[in-house]
Amino acid sequence: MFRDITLGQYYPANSAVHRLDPRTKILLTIFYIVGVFFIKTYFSYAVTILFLTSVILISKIPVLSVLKSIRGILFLVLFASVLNLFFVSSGEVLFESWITPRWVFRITMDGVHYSIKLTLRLILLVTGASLLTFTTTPVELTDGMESLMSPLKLIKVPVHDIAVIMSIALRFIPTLLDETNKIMNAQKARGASFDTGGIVKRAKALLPILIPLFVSSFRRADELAFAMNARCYNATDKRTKMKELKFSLKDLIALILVLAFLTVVFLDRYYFMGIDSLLFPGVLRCAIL
Amino acid sequence: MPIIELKNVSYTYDDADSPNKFALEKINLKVEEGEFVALLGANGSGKSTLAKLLNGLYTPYSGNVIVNGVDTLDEERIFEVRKCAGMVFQNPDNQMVATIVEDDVAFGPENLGVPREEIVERVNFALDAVGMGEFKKNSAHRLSGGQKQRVAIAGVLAMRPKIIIFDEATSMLDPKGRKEVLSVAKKLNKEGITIIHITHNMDEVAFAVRAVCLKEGRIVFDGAPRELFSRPQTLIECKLSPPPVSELARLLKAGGMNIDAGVLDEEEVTEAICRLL
Amino acid sequence: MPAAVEITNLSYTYSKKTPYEKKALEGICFSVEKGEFFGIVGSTGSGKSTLISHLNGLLKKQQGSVKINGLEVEKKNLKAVRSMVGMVFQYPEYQLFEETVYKDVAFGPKNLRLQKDEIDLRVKEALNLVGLDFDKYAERSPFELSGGEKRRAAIAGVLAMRPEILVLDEVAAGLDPEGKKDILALVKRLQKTMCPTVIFISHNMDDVASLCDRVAVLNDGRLLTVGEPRAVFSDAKAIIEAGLELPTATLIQKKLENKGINFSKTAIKIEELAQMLLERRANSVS
Repeated sequence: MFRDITLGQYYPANSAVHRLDPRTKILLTIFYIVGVFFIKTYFSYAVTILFLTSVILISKIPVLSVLKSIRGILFLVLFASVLNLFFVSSGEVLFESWITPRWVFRITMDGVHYSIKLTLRLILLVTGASLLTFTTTPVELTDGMESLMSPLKLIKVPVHDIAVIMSIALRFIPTLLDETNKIMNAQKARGASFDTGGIVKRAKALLPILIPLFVSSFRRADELAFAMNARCYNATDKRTKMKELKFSLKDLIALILVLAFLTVVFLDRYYFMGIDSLLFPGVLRCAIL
Repeated sequence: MPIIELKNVSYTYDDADSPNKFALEKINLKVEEGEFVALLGANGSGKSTLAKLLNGLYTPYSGNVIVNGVDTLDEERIFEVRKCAGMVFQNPDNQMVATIVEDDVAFGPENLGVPREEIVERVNFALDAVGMGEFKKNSAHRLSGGQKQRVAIAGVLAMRPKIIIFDEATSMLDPKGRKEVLSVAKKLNKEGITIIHITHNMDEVAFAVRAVCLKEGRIVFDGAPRELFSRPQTLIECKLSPPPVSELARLLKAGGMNIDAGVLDEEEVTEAICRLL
Repeated sequence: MPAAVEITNLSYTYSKKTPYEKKALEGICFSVEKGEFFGIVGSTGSGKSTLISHLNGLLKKQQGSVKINGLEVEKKNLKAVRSMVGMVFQYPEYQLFEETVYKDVAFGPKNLRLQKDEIDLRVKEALNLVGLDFDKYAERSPFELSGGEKRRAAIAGVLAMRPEILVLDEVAAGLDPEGKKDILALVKRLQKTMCPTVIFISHNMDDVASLCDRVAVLNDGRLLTVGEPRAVFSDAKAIIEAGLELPTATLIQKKLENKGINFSKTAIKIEELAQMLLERRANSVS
């Protein structure tokens, strides 16, 4: 069962996006996420969808895999937007029903627009963020984060130790998965069963797996600590790194493209406020949106 | 001057104020540079404790451990000791810190602040020396036990040690893996590195120049393996099993064949038998 | 009377239809009779673990048949199979989890939903079989025990299921010489008492040669040969091609043969070889 789990969503391919410096990808993903929160008009959403689709195509990730990543949150997104539909009461009323003399249940045009835009926003956020993990290996991500966090060294944050912890955690995930499998098999051989019974029973059934796993993890940590000390961990503050991250022209181009995207979004929101009404006559600008 | 010297070393896992049981008691040992020493003993004999005293992971309760001229009690210079005396541990998994092989081998030199270009050189050299050069970019998780241990040796080699201590590094390996590790150890010893091989497996002792046997925290034998093999009493005392070749020699001798009991391996016993038939 | 274990045409592929697909077993056929001490040898990756995982249904069969005491191993009779086949994995002490040794050994019988008295009886029996004094060990935490004691406690946990067929995967792995002697003596005792049929997986050919009635050699997912140790180890070429070693006695004998000293039969134990050599010397002297 556990043999088929591959770590994270990384999809190996040799695209321009894959070859970007991981720091670039992390930062630009953050910029993108910020940008998405500022999107106001359908025009901007259209621009964003276009932008994201082009990035997906350049990165050679199959569209099916990307859609799969949305599948997980789709229910939540739809639930949230339907709920919001009932709470926006400004604008042209589409449907109204008085439940009590004081309390009215109302669906308005503004509400419809708000829900649609909320759905789009959430989907764009998740898709954009998952592109990061699709195109960057976990090792690259930890290297990138360590580099980005290094200014924090000035305020005595143990950046290197945190990076080593992340790297060790990553390295041990497959090992721990294997061990979990072994322990499960050993307990199954003694008649244990993990897929029957209600929630409480199943939770109890996990103890014979979790306890040995915890015990062995502590033992591993102990042994690993000896090994790290034996290899002079923390011998000096002047440690070096074999793998160096280097920015290149590709990263500059990516930066410019994302900034261009952000510019469009911001201009659309603050300067060309009427563009939606030009392009989509009849859409009313709503204070909330 | 010996490269390793233990002077009256004792160690206890008990509370230092009121120790009951000593894992090691008044150990005196000298190892010259370039020696291949096999350290033998049953579980609980103190051999693993001794290993950790050699690179300062443990400090003695009493006595001194001096490695390459540096006393392990000297906290300021402890990393010099560890750089000089590298250690390969028993569990192949619990020594690796990185996902990719070359990253793990680079861990030691990175910790020492070796300049970047030199780290790359050292990593390549170390991996080639243990025969794992083509696995540089591989994921460490998928390697066999013997391969993992060789990567661990490379990780130690990259720090340019004078001594490598194998702390029961072969006990969790299959015969193929054990052969791989031992042949690397032999090769490195030929190139001048002092090897301390800790094991309870008698058939890994044959090419050691010197065998030291521990029993309940004390050294019971210190001499040539050949001598040890011809002393079945000592082996039994230390709760060790003579290797099959010794057993054969003993049976033949008991049956009247005048065979030297100190045979080390299958080749030697074959030669010895041929001469007598 | 059906064989204790009957394997027919067993094949298995991991991660089918993915880039990681790997054929682990192909067309394995052999049987183990009740009362046999049966060895399975093969280098790492030869399919040993995959094979034994089929014996108690840990792996869902893909192709072929696995019968335990005539019962086909399938989802509907896993419970029955798992109370007939006891499996001791490598480093079994890593599966200990309960607060006391008693509770841990009782885990198996509890899963079988036995009555409290029956469980108590089985725990006492199992601890007795492995040589752990009930009064001394029952209430102790398994995590305080020594390595050898932990292993015996883990084995007791399997014995509490009263398995007729005991599968041991490298039962002596990582033990020092004395620990190994004790465990192998325990295994021999078990075969004479609770578990008449023993399936013994080991890397150590000397152990296999001295303990097993018959041995199966796996190589790259295929069954190379099955037979008595003497016959199997006589084919030195095949053994070495399978990435395995010969028992020490056989190895020395082969070396002697290379020097022109020939023998009428293959020695697989040191005592045999010593005897053969002494006889030969006696003959040449007279």
